[in-house]
Parts: sequence; C-alpha cells; structure tokens
Amino acid sequence: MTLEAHHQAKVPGVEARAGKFRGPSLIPMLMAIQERCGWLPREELEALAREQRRPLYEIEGLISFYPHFRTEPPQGATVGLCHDLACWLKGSEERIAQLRERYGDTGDVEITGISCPGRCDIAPAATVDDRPGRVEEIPALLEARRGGSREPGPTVAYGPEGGWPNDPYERVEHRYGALRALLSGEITPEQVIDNLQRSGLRGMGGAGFPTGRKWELVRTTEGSLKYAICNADESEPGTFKDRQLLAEQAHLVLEGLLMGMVVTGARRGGSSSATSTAPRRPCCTPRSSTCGSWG
Amino acid sequence: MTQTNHAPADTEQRTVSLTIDGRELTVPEGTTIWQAAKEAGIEIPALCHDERYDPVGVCRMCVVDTGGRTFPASCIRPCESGMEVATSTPEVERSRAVLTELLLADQPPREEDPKQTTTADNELIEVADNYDIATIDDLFKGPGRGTDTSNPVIAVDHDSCILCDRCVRACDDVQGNDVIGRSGKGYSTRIAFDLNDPMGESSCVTCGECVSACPTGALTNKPINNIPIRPRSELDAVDTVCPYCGVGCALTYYVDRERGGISFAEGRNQPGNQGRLCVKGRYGWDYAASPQRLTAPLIRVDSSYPKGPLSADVKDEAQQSNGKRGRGRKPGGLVPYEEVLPHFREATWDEALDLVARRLGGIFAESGPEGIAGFGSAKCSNEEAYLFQKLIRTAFRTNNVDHCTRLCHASSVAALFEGVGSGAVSTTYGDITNADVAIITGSNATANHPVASSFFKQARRNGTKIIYVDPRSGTVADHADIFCQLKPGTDVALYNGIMHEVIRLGLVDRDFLASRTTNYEELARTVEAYPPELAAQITGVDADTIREIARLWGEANAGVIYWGMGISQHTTGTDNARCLIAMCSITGNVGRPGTGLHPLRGQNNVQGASDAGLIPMFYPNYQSAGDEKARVLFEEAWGTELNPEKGLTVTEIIKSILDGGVRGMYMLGENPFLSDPNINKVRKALSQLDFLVVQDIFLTETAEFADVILPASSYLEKDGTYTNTDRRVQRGRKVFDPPGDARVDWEIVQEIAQRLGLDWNYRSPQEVFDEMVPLMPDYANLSYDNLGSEGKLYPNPDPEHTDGTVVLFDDRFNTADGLAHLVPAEWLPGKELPSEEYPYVLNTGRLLEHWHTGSMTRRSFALDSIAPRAEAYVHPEDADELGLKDGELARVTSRRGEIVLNVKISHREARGNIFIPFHFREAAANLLTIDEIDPMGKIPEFKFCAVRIAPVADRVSTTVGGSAS
Ligand code: SF4
Ligand code: SF4
Ligand code: FES
Ligand code: FES
Repeated sequence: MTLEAHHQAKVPGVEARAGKFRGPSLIPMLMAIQERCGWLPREELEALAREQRRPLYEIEGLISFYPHFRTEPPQGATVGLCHDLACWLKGSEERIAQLRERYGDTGDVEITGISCPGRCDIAPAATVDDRPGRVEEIPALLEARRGGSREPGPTVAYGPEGGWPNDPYERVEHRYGALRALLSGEITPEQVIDNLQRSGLRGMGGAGFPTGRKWELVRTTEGSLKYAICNADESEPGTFKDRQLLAEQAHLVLEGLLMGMVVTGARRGGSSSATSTAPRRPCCTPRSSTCGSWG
Repeated sequence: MTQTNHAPADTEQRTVSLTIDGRELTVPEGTTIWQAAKEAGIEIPALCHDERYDPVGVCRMCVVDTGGRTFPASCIRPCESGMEVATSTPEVERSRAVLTELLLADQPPREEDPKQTTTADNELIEVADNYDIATIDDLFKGPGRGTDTSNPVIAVDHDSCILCDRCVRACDDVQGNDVIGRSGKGYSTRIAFDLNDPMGESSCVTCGECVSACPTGALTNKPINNIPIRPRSELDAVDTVCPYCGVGCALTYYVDRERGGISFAEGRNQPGNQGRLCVKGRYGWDYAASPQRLTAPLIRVDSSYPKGPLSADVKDEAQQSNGKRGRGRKPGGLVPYEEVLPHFREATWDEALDLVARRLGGIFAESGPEGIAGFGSAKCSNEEAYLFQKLIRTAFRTNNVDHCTRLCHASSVAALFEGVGSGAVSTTYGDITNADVAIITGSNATANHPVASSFFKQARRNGTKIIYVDPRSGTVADHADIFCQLKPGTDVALYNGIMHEVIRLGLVDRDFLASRTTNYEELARTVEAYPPELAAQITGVDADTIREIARLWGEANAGVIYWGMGISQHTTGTDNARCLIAMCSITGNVGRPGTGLHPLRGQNNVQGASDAGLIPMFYPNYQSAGDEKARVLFEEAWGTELNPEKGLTVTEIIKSILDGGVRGMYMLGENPFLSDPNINKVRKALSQLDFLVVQDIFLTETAEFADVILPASSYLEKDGTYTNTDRRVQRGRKVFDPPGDARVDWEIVQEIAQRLGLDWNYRSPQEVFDEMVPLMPDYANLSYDNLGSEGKLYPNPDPEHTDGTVVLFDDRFNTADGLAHLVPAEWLPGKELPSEEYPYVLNTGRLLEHWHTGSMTRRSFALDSIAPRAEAYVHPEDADELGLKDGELARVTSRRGEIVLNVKISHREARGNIFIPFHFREAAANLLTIDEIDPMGKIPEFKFCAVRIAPVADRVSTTVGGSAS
C-alpha cells in the first residue's frame, strides 16, 4: 500500500530540539555571575533569562546539573564530599556524617554531598571551595583558605618509576613518531587501519565498536567535512582515566586524535573534557601546548 | 472571488518502500516507522510519543527490530528503503515488558494513582496491563520525588512522572510558554517549573496543556468546587465553545449529571484552536454555578427611591469619606449583595415583565424614539443580539442600540469600512503560518487572545519574523524578532515613518497600488513628511529600527498585521487603523495566504453581535441604518416602519441621559459602570434615568441603579451561535438548565416584545438564526445543521463541504468600487499629556485571568485564586524613584479621581508608564481614564491619560479602593 504524504517530512528527533532556544551558551554567563556574587542569586538569574531571552527552566537545567553552581549563598567555606560510585564504595557516606558532626555547628563550614569531581583516584574525594583534595587534607585546605589561598590543587602525578607501560616513547623528543611516519608516507593510512583491526582494539564507551572498523568506515565515507572528536568526559561509572591521561600523557591522546584525522580525512578536531564534573575546568591545557605546532 | 481553505499544493515528494511485519509499504521520505505502521493499522505501544508533538525518542517503549545491531525507537527512526521491520518479536516484547516493569517500580500504587483514580486513563498502567505486570516487589524503589499542589487547579506528583518530556513539548512547542524543564540528574531528576519553583509560583499560566499531554498521573487536574473528576465514560460530554474571548476555542465540558456540575473541560479539535485552550477556557467555567446567581426577578422597593448607587464602592466620595465605607466587610471583590439586595424585592416574571413593558412603553409614548436606548452585549449569542436590536428598532423605532464593541474596536471597524468596505478580519489568526512577517501591535495577545498567541509563537519558531509594536513589553515581546517599544499614543507617527521608508526604498507594490487602491498619491505626500528621524523623535524608537522594520515589511512576500485595543482605544484610533490598512495596501499584503488585516476581537461574540446589528449605525450585516434601500429591506422583513435617523453610541447615550434625552434603558448583560470611561459621569447618568431594566446573571454595579432586574441565563444554559474573531460561526450548546426562576435571554426579550405588542413567536434560537441568514448575505448558506461541531467560517459558498473562506479580498475589496481607499493620517498627540502635576501615562487593559468587569472571572475559583487583587504595574526604576515597594499600597490620581491599590514592580512597563487592569471594582481604573473619544469610531481613549502615583503613607487605615475628586 502507499501512504499519502499528509505529514511534513521533517527530520524528527532530539536533534530537532537541540538549540531550541537560539543564542550563546549560558554556562560562561552563569560562571561570571557566580564569580561576581559568590553564588547565583535569583534576581541575577531572572535578569539573565530576561536579557538573553531564554527560559528560566533552561538555566535550572544547567545549574541543577552541575554541582559547581551554587543557588544559595555560601556559609563560609564549602566542603564537598563526593557521593558517587567510586567514593561511595570507599565509604564516603560515613565520612560525610563524620564531617557534619565535626563541623556541623561551627556555622562557617558547610558540608555537602557532591557528584564526582573527577578525582576518583583519591576516593573518597573532597573539595574545599571547589578545590579538590583528600579527606584528610580538609583541615589543611580550610586553613589555607582562611589565609586567603585560592590556588587550585596540584594535578596529581601517579606515574610509576619507570614511566607508564603504555607509552612507547622513552624520550620526549621521540614522541609523535607514529604520526610523523604517517605524515611522511612511511606508513599508509590503510596500514594504520589494518594494524588497528588486527590488534582487536575496541571503543569502551559502551558499544564496544572495533576501532579499526570505525576508522575505515569514516575514511571511505564521502563527505566534504569530517570531524574528529575526542571524548574525555570521564563518564563511565567507577573508572578514572581521562583526567590522568590528559594530565600525564596528553601527547598520546593528541597523537591518536591527529592520526585519526589524517586517516579519516577529518579537517577539524576537538576534545571535550570532564564537563560532567565542573564546567570548563582545564586540567591539561599547559601540557598539551607542547605539541602546539602540530595543531 | 475569495479564497477558501484548501490543502497545500502538492509538491514533489520522494518516497521509500519497506516492509513492516511483512506488509509492503511505500511512504513519503521522512515518515517514521511508528507513523507508517500506524497508518497501515499496526499499533506500536508508545509512551513518550504522541502525534501532537515532535518525537524525542526518550522512553524506548516503541522499539522495533530492523535487523540492526540494536532495536531502534520507531517513533523517531525514519523509514529507510528496503527496511524490514518486525514490530513485535518475542525479543522486542521482552524489552518492552522489562522497561514497563522498571518504570512501574517507582509509580504510586494504582489505587492511589492520581490519574487512574480520576479519569482512569493512565497510559503506563494500560501498557502494564497488556504485559500482565501487576505489582512489583522485587525491584528497589528509589526515594520519593515529592508532590506539588501549589497550583490551584493542577496537581503534580513527581513519583508518577516517567520523564517522557511530553509536558515540556506541550508547554514549549504547542503553547510557547516555556515553563517546564528538568531539574537535577540521575535518579532524582524531575520536571521543574522555571527555577524549580512551586508550579503555583512559577511563570506558568495554567493553560493546562501539560495536563492534557501527560500520559501518567504526574500532572492531573484538581477537582473544582468539589465535583470529582471521573472517567469520561461516566460523564456527559457537551461539545460547545469557550464563553470568554474572541478566539472562540472549541471545547468539551464533561458534565457530572448526578452532582449537577462540570467535572472538567477539554480542548476540542477545530481548525482554529486545534484543541488548545487557555486558563479561562479550561478552568474558568464554574462562575455559572456561583451561589450569587440571580434566580428571581427583582423590583426596586419604593423606599429606595430616588435612585442612586447602593453599595459603598459605587457611591460617590461624599458618602464615602465619613468612614462608612467598608463597614467591616473586606475591601474589594464583587458587588456586596447584602448591601444591595435589601433595596429590591422578589417579583413574579409577569409582574416584572409587565412593569418593564409599561414603563418603557410609557416613556416611548411621551418622549418618542429619542427617549429610549438599549445596550446589548457581545457576550450574548448572535440570535440574542439580533432579537435585542430588532426589539429596540421595531418596538421603540430608534437606532439607539449599541454594545461594548464601542469600547473596543469601533475605530478599527470604522477605518476598515472606509478603507476596505468590511469590518471583519481579512484572514484568520492561524494564517500567520503562511506569513513571512507578522506585525503584532497594540495587543497583549498572550493575555487577551492566549490561544491565538500560541499560534503566533509557533509560527515564529517555524520561521515567521515577528515584529511586536507596543508600549508595554508583554510576553509577546519575548517571542518577537523585533520589539518596538514606542511611546504611548505615537502609532501614527511610527507607521508613517515606516511607510516613508518603504516608499523611499522602492518597496511598494506598484501593480497592487495601480489596480487595487485609490488615493496613494495623497498618502505618499503625507508620509513624505515623516522621515525615520522625525518618527524616531516622536515615538522614541530609534531610526535604525524603523528602517529595519520598513525593509523587512517591504521585502516580505507575505505580511500580515494583527492588532488589539492598543490601536483602537485612542482618540486617534481610527487614524491608527488607517495606517495599518495603508501599510498592508502599499505593499500588496492583502488577499493572499499569510497576508491581511486582523483586528483581534475581544469578547467571544463581539464579531457576531456587530454582524447581527447591535450597533446604532447598522442593521444586521452592516447595512447602513441611514441607507434608504437597507431600511426598506428591513421594514419589509420586520413588517414595520423604521427610524431613518442613525442612533447614538454608548458614550453618546450616557451624555444624552445627562442632557435629558434618553430616559429609559434596557441593558442586557452589559455593565457600563466599570467598563466605560469616566465612571463618575456614568454614575450620574445612571442615577438620572427614569427607568432602567438590567438583565444579567449577577448583581452588577450597573444593576444598583436599576428599577427592575431580570435574572438571565449564563452562557452554559442556552443554545445559540457565536462568531469568533476569525469569522467562524460556531454553535454553543446548553449544558445546564438556568438556576431557579432564571430564564434564557432570548425568551425574556421575546416576552417583553410581546408585551409591547409585537407579534413574536420564536420557538428556538434556531428559528431566529433561520430568519437572520436571508437578511445577512455574509452568513448565506449557513444553518444549524451545517455548522457541525467545528463551526464554519463565513463567507462560505458551500458549508456542507468546506470550512469557509480564510482569505478575503483576493481580487476585490468590499467597497463600492472594489478598491481599497487609502486615507493618510497626521500624527496628533494624546488628549491629556503628562504634566508636572500628573507626570505618568496611564495605560489600562486586561489580565490573562480576568474578563472585563470580572463578574464571571472573579467568581471562578481558578481565576480568582491566581489573580485575586488589583495592582498597578510600575517600572522598577520609577518605583525606586517614587519609593514604591512591590506589594505595598499606592495612590494613583488623575484629574478625575483616585484609586488605591497594590504596587507590582514590573520589567514589562516602560519608564514613565503605569498599567492598571480594569477588572477590579475596588480599584476601578476607569475612575481615572478620560472620556475623550475618537471622532469617527467614537471610541474612548482608554489607553492614555495623565496620572500621578505615590506611596500611601498611612498604610494601616487605608484600604484598597477608589473615589472621585
Ligand atoms: S499549565 Fe501551561 S504554562 Fe503551565 S506548565 Fe503546563 S503547559 Fe506550561
Ligand atoms: S483563548 Fe479565548 S476562547 Fe480560547 S480558551 Fe482562552 S478565553 Fe477561551
Ligand atoms: S566518584 Fe568520587 S571522585 Fe569520582
Ligand atoms: S515512544 Fe518512542 S521512544 Fe518513547
């Protein structure tokens, strides 16, 4: 049978709804308010919605998603204790109770449970005014804060003595060797794909798709503009790696990204990092600039 | 010829072929699997999907097997060529069953489910029953997500919510209110209003669209007046039309006959409103059940003469200032029955009707036609309007018959008659979908024509550019591409400036001007003197914006203008409307889809009442009372001689009373006390009438001056037709019998007619309609039968088969020569400019929740709970300067009077302007307004007068209220 064309052919789906409200990202604007006021007062949010002509609910969606945003004025210092999986397994609930007991009545320290700040390596992880640290470090961090320190915590390095076993490059100047070989024609894109396929490498985001096959598919797909996107969003429950990789071995991530672009013919590349924890909190910018000339 | 509704032209459509459950189908490209299956008669269960909304594919109930790696959601996956779809394999069914079980685990038990225990149509429970899933005890139940009962008529149960997003789409995509989103993440995610505010405190306008969208018990209606909400099958469904505004939404009341009340209302599909309603239509119907309904005829007792106002609020200052007012009663609200009723005694119908006939007949005998006048109402049906004007015109041989159209669009109608030969809209509100550019001006459409505004907002999301021109930044401004906040009363200057620029840019439609208009040269000469810079100076809109609007408008393929009372309620109202007609004419924007002129009509039947002849200068169908041919036609039809003199308008009648002209009046459903400008003058006039009969459903302020009060029927108690702003004639159907001895209006009019010696014997409104149609060429071919359930647009050459004419004037205008007559206008300042003593400009208007003098809406539980009090809206900076605080009392004073009311700080006002809604008798805005009128439309300047405002220092002893000065 043949159906009549009485409904409009429009591409249905979530895509059609994304960007429903035109305009720039509200996140930087919310960050600016929080920076200026220390939190997000209601009047400010209403004014933002009015000026940007965006619904209040869009703002609510953002500020309720990112624990970073405060909708109440801070009572002195805010200590956050992660209650997500890795930390929960390490007994964070108990720690929160203990902290509440200890600081509960002091009035100038507020204890809250927070979502994963991306520091499962030190689980149960804590933050003091958004600065991450170990639970044991909380008193010291509070002390430092009283002294006016606003330094973000150090990026922790865990590299074993002899370097990470996954790094093929022993010396800094050898890095990007595979990419160089690819660019100079020493190895062909087909060889790269072949190697990937034989290695059995798969994506671990959930679907387990074979990487070599994916690269091949994209390479052979017709298209004027291809994008390579590196997802460093640390969102698999109970795992902790993206931050560490970007902090310690950014050159490998970048090399992989660039090789992927060369092999598939992508013209643009980008990476999203850890947005589910704190928006726009760079943990690797300084390091990745060592390969800036390749960009 | 005119254009009628037809399907959009067939465009080349690519198709794909596939099989679903073994059946071979060919569907247009882009069709989803779910849709294709449905049309082939295969039902795929769905929860988040509903054809009213764009699919989002979030619940996965509709998954099917396409042979791929995973099961795609059929509601969102387009059909592909060669696809083989299986909709119900055991794996697919298992996936759905597991999903149902997981969803059900967090639901409240079914005997407590807010939907299952009311309308009993919880879609999740239905799916669960299909999969034989009863109770679930082996699944971990998450922490509760709470309930929210802050809205007076809508209950939120977050535990019942399955986050299907239907309410979000209903609120955003259908109604354009943009209130609901999600808050939080993970397990505790829930729907949220604004900044996760209680629904009742959020910007939600209680349109109820989300309730009608929700598949579960998460969003449900609360019972109103203790009439429980029950399954539709146990209730009596009455298909009728909303009694409130000119949008005329079709709806169904579900009536509980056992308890004698309405259980709930639902939008009904009709080409105009397409099932949508606003808060008034969906929740505002309980006024008819108010215990304050008049149920017996009342006659003023002898001791209450000489006549005058009876309640404290309606009395004048001298009586008020000695501390008598209030007398322990809480300030504000409706006419205090206990103060007014003792001045009347109950009477039989015969006694009351005889008295009316004797007194009005007596005055007519003494003073002739000049001594009598009648005010009908735009709330009454076409049949009632027709009978009422026929009574006044034939029994009293006078054309002194008018209604509140005088107070809203008379000037628009005057300009339209002069320009295009017809006062009706040239296209519908829904036709905005076909426009590239729409100008919405002088209309707070989101409040006053809510459902029409939802189509405006929707059109913009689909690419129509919206230019909003208004001194107030109403919610329409949030949805406009260009918001042009002009100074009040400068419309003519603005449009002249725009036209100047359109002409300069050469964007006029030469062919249209040459073949379809007259007097262009004159217009061009006039607007020549209004370069954008000058217009900018007058209007306060910057010249670049004026240029941008001119370019957009001039270049539009299809442009349409919708306007409201901000255009008409000025002393320059007719000129304002002339400019809009010229705007459309010079660019050829009339007579094609997506083009035209649409004055948004206020009352549900203001179009119909005018059509039916409830205006002093016209017989039914706008046949001029001054025109010999028309008079003869009606003299023959009505078998009596008619008065060749034009009659007086509302404002002129009031004046005539004071001058000793009009002595006896019949008021049907009209309350001029609150709705007319300069209340003090009205008060004096009403007290002076020799005889006043008021026919209404409640005691109104006007009824305090009556000699006889006749208890009438509400909209819900009678049959009749109503004509909406689109020219759609629809049938309203009786829901209940009138309470007590109250009677339906057309019968009362007929009783009086008979007592005045007229030979009237109508047995039903239908008979009246059948008499009207042959006298009203525009209504030709219409009958009760062919109006059907959706009504029909007029003119309609073939109502059996078509919906009627959407676009008028496609090849000629209604004027005698068939051409549009352009009338240039010079800008004139308002009549009462701000001065040092009265530095602010007062603007008046309506609120979304209220209707005119509030006699209906303030008796509705929902509407009164949402907007219970009178407020003056002030810009935050003005408020700062004046020391006004939100919620505190202020005194607003004009040269005519003063009122005390609460301050509302509002970003929507411009600096220097104050807005006061006129629904509240305790702070009646029309004590302040000026009764200057437009010379042609005779419409009062409600939108512009000078006032001052100051905090009320002594807050304790002051109550909300007003007085004359
Ligand atoms: S009632 Fe209307 S405005 Fe309020 S949330 Fe529901 S859809 Fe939105
Ligand atoms: S828009 Fe008008 S007609 Fe429609 S429901 Fe609301 S008040 Fe009634
Ligand atoms: S789960 Fe606690 S830091 Fe990631
Ligand atoms: S109905 Fe298709 S995903 Fe919900």
